This record gives sequence, C-alpha cells and structure tokens, in this order.
Amino acid sequence: MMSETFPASVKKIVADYLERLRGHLKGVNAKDQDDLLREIESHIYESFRNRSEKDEVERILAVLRHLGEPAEVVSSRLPAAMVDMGRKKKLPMYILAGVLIALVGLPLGGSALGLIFGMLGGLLGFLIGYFAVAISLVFAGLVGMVVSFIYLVSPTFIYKLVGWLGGEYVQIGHIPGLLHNPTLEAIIALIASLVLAGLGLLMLWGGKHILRGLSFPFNWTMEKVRSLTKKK
Amino acid sequence: MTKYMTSDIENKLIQLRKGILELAIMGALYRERHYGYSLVRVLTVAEDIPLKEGTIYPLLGRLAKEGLVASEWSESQQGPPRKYYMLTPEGRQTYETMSGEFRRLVALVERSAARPAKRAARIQPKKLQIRRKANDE
Repeated sequence: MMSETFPASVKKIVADYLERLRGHLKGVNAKDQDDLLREIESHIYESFRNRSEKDEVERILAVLRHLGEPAEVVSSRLPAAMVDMGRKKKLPMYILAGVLIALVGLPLGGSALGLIFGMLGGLLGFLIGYFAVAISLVFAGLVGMVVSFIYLVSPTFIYKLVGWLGGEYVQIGHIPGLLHNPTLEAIIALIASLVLAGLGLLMLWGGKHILRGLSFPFNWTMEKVRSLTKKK
Repeated sequence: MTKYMTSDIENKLIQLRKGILELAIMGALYRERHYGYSLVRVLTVAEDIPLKEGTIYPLLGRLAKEGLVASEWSESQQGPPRKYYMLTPEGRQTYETMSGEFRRLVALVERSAARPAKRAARIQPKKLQIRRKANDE
C-alpha cells in the first residue's frame, strides 16, 4: 500500500517501523489493526512532507523520533490485547506477566485487572489460612500450658475434670515403660505447649513480613480500582 | 526517598498532562475537524503543548470508544487518505462542561497560590508531621 508514498531511500525504514507497530497489535482485531496502521502511515507521510531536513533518511528518522516508539502509539490498546491473547493461549505466561505487573506496578490500564484480581484472591486465601494456623497454634499452646500447669499442681483435679467431661484420660507426655510420674508428664506437656505457642507466635511474627511484602500488590490494585471508578 | 519523590512528581505531571491533553484535543476538534497530524500541529505549534506525537492516537482511540469522537476516512489531494476526527454531539456537550470546569479549577489554583502565606503556614506543619511519622516506620 505504500509503494508510491515514500521515496525508495526511506521506504524500508517506514515499513520496518509499521511492522514493529503491527507486532504490538497482536490480539487486536484485523480491522482495527489495519485502520491504525493506515492512520500512522498517513501521519508519517504528512510529517515527512512537512519537515525541513534535507537528507531524506535524516528526515524520516526525525519523523519517527517525534512520533515515538510503537509501544507509545498503541499504549492504551495494549492491556486489552494482552488479556485477549491470554484467553486464547499461553495463559500461564500471562498470569506470570500479571504477577510481574502487580509486583513492578507497570501502569497498564484496567483490563489487566481481572487477571490480577484472580491472583490477589489466591494470595488472600493463603493469607487467611496462614493466620488461622498461626492463631490456632498459639491458642492450643496457651490452653495446653494452663492444663499442664494445673496438672503439675494438682493431677487429681485434671482426672476429675476429664471424668466430668465424660472423656477418657490421655496421658500427655507419658513415656511407655517409665513409671507413672505426674510431675514429669506435666513438665513435658508444659514444654510441648510452650513450643506450640512459640511456633504460633513465630508464624504471627513472620506474617508481618509476608503482609508487608504483599501489601504492595494489594495497595496498587486498590489504587488502580479507585482511579478507574473515578474516571467513570 | 528523594528518588521516590521525584518519580512521584513526574507521575503526577504525567497524569495532569494527560487529562489536559485530552481536553485540548477536544477543544481543537470543537472548532474544526482534524486528522491526526494536523491535530498534532495545532496542539504543538499553535498552542505550544510539548508532546510525543504518537501519544494522541491512544487518546483519540479512547475518546472514540467513549463515543465522544467520531472519525471518517477521506481522500487527500496528495498522498494516502487521512482519517478525520470530529466531536459527536455528546462530545461537544462534554467539552463545554469540562472546559467550564477546567477554567474554574485553574482560577481556583491561581487564587489559592496567591493567597497570603499565613494560612498556608498554619496547615503545612501538620501535614509535614504526618509525613515524617509515616517515613519513620
């Protein structure tokens, strides 16, 4: 289509630029693709005709420099195309890209959001599970400590308590073959409870770092959503 | 920290320019129809807005998607056909509302910058304090 439009010396440069532009439009439907390529070619032509550089190659390079990189020309169409492609094939690649976008915070528009929301949902599930485990560990540890402390002071009370509850008494910390020794058992149970609670606290403490690490993608997404809703 | 602040300012400027550029495009199309290159000429030469020419195409695409701008291909006497853009009736109305609002905002910014420093000084320290606290963490 551009055979007579440009002099031979610059034809290749223009064709190369348009080809790179086309590369950025994968996933955009063919009609829109052609429309934009024709429009940009027309722009290049007008600009080329109106610039003053004497050397043609120099002039076309100035034209393209002023026009900007192909990515800039198509920037608002990029995210939609990306999501479209992801639906067709190579989904894991685009999920990975989504993660990177979420982490690096590339300012791509709203259509990548769907992708990111899915991942954030997964992360949220993980977080909830993580903290549920941590809290139950701490809780179990505390209860264990109270029970074993009472057992240390008064074993009979625990026997009675278990009897009231209708359960069967399980010896925590009982080592088969050793003599029945309530004090030793209580101390072993106490240590076990302490370890449990400590583990839970450690998880909670570590969770702080996980939260800090994950807060960025969450905040970024919220920011994006806010700016999108504002636009409407 | 300073690096972050600089990119923060750059970000804000980009946002500001984008919004204003959209309004400027609509303003140019309000007066007459344009093809991409003539629109760039009007904005950069006549109105002196520095801009990478290619950036108007995504903006035009968005305005078209929102139904504010319509386009049609038209043969040129020289070279390939041109794609002309014009405001739709809805676009004209949107431009009128937005430019009115824009003028009000500009007046507001200028008024508050011209206001005596006394009032600004009263607000400023509190803001700084909050900032510093957030930074310490």
